[in-house]
Amino acid sequence: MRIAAAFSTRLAIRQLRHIGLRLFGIFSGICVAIVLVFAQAGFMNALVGSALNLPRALKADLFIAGPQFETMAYSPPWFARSLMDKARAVPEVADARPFYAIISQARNPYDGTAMSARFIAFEPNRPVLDLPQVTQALPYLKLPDAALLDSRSRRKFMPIIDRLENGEEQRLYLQSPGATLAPEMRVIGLYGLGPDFTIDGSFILSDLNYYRLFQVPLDRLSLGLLTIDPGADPQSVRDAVAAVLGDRAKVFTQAEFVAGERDYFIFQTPIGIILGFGLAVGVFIGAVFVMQALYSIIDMNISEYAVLRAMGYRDMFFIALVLQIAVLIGVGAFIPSIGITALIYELVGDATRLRFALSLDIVGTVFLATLIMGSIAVLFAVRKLRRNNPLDLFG
Amino acid sequence: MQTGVTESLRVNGLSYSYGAGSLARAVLKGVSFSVCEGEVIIITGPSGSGKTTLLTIIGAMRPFGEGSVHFQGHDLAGMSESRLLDVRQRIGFVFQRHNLLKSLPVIENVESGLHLLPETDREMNRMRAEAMLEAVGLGGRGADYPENLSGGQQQRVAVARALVRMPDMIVADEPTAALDAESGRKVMEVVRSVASQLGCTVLISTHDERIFDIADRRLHIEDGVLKAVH
Repeated sequence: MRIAAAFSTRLAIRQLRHIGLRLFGIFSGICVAIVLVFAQAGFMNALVGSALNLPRALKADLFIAGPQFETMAYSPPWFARSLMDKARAVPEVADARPFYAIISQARNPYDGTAMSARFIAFEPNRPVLDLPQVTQALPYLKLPDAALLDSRSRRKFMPIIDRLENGEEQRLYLQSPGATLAPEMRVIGLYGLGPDFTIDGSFILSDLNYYRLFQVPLDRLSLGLLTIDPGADPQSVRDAVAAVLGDRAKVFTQAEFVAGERDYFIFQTPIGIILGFGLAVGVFIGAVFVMQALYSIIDMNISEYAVLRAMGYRDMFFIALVLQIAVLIGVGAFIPSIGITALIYELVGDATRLRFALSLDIVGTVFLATLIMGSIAVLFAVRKLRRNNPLDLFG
Repeated sequence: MQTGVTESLRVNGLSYSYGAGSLARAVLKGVSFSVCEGEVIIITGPSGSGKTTLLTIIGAMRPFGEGSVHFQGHDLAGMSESRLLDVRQRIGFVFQRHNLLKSLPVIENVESGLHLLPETDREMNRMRAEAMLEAVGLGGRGADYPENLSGGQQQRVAVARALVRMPDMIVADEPTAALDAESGRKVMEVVRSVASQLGCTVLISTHDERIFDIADRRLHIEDGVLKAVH
């Protein structure tokens, strides 16, 4: 039996080698499917990663949001600052800081087009972002109409970024819902956060400049960021704060807040649903390619397999044979796919300014998807082989 | 022609039909005969006479309902697929087409007949395969691939593959049909010679009158009925 198993391995390798140049066609087809899965997984990862840039950068143990709050992706619904002050009074809450965010537009000073951006604000004396460049620039944020621009914003912001990198500042006119004339903002520096799928770029302001430019009263908070005493249990403090605030606000732990943002993008946005569907389609197409490859190899050797079956080789031998062929072509196509994917990630990441990282997680996920493709294909191929009857060899 | 004295195969009252009910078509009707160890039997008959069906039943490939087939003392009637597979490991097959594994060299094709045998190792298998290639006149061609051999040589490799595990019986279906007269003759002489050395029973279904003389006996079937024994 041991020798028969070794024979199945040798036969699998030899049959693939015997295919010659046609093997290149087989590998190409499967490569396309694997790269498709890699692309979908990369897009999904970039979608989630970019959506979580801001939530992960916020320094807080608990988050308070308005009762209609769903996501940070758009201008979050406001809630009264007095609720945050009430939360501050809960035992084990160490600090509470206001956070403001609004989606608006700035006029591109070079071509006059509108640039969609997120404007986030906080009290410079009570910073909320865990970003070194922001910490260094805090004193300058207090200057009238001053703002920082995300250096990883999309291409349309590039002329402004270039100018700031040359040590100059950039004045921008804003679309403000509360102002008759477009207010002017001074962009004085850069920080690095990254865009997401909905927003091209983002600015950071002080709370006072936010009020001055957008005319939004500072007692209307987008989020309340709570820190808790060292050693306190976030879940129990979250429950205590929620009990105090009732249905006038939502309260999340940091993990819940991040998970909520991730789930919103994956399950609620069309792009998340499309990418999830694309991932499944990629696996399906891959399975079809692997199956086609296995079918063509089986067809090429069908009468030889029938002779082996006539000689007494059992189903297990053929299952092992087909499985090994599937693994060989799957792994053989997977390795070049990684190289092609790295190139695609580089190109797409550069064009979208989103993070496309070929992480071990993604490689592992796609390898798993490749195994699933292969397994589906093997199931069908074995069914075909089992129908192979040595009686057909007789004239 | 030397024949053995121990009975290797006994077919008794074997009947077989394709289809069922009013559509049933009987292809074997009460066929009975026996074969001794080491005997070479040629089965002749016109196309559709039932000789191939008879061969597939004796080769433990086709379950049957009526009659009995005793091979080396085992009754094949009612055997499960798994038991039939066990029986098949004691039978060597040679088909009209050689059906060699194109991706393997000749020596490994011959070895493929050995991998299922218990208590064999790789070195032993290689030695047996080389010896069998020598016996069929292809010594030194083990490293060649089937596509580099003539049709007759390929069929001789198929014969070596069938005989290498020293089966109790060889079942050959039109083994010379795809070969010219000389090659066909050579292949059958090899079968006759090696089978005789191994004491292996040989059943050959053929239309090829040129090889009738290699047989110890010839059974003629027409319309599913055993008509004559020569």
